[in-house]
Amino acid sequence: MKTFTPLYERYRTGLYHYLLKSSGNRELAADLAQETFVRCMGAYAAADVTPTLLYRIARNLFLDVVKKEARVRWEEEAEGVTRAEQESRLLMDEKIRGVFKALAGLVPEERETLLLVISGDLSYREVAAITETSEANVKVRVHRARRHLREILEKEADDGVDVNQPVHRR
Amino acid sequence: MGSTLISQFIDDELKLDEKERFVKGVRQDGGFYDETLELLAQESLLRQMEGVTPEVEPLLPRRRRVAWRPVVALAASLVILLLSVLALVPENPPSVTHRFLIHAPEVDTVAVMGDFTSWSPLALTRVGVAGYWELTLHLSPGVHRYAFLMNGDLLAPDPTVVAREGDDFGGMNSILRIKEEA
Repeated sequence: MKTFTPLYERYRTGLYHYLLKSSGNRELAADLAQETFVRCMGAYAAADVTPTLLYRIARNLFLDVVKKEARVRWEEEAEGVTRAEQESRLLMDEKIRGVFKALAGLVPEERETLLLVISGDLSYREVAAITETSEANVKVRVHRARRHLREILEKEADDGVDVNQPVHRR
Repeated sequence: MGSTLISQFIDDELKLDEKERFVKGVRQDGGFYDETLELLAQESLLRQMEGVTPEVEPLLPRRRRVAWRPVVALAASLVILLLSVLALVPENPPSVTHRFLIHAPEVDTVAVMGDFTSWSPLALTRVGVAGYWELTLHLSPGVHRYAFLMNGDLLAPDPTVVAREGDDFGGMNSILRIKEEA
């Protein structure tokens, strides 16, 4: 009988990175990846679990958090970052940090499509099923996302302006 | 030139006729060639991100330290006082009744071992003469892992539960999700 262990081994990294790039929050990504597998184990036989199902569950969990967090008001941070955080920031490759920031500047449907595609676990057809759109739309969205990402990164490199805003559409 | 061809190339989504158009585009159109190289470099950067943790402003808010103000201090004191009072009241965590049942006519003893028994065997009781064994426990809501111990030496997952995973010793545990009672 097929067990969940191979599924977990095969998809946990891709799922985690998809959730990490979606949220920008390592702890949240780890929690949601774990919850995705727990929900799968609770409701499906291992043989019935497909990458589409896994990513659909992960995406829905993430969207639930987005809805929930949007209603929460967080207190302003009173103190600066800790020493460990400062050191971590110094070690961070500037370019990669720039990409994280630039991703935040994409419109949500383009960012989501791009992140599902670059997970490496899903075809355009599977991403279309998860995002409930057509395969042709996925093809267009993912390419637009890449182009807009490039525009944001170029703009950031040129003038160092705040890139954390949706890119202007022509 | 269909510009989505570049992304399709990056994502291994080109059909045969599209591959031909892509190759011709790269050879004949300098702009197309440049854009392909730029997007490939960007893709490489996207994949490098997988080894690092973002330290930029997250897309979702993270919990932050609360500003130390008199009002906050007063509220915190009240919460601590309330928690201290509550700690004196015996706590009754919610639990859900679950019946373990297994058909094992050939064995003399059956026990269940799981995270809810701290992995110590807890004996099931034989029911009738048809080889059924049962045990009713109160379990906390959440996911539990367990296996049955037959005759004190053979561990086996629950045959009635499909969800399973390997344990650290080469065996299999069943996975039980207990939902909170409405």
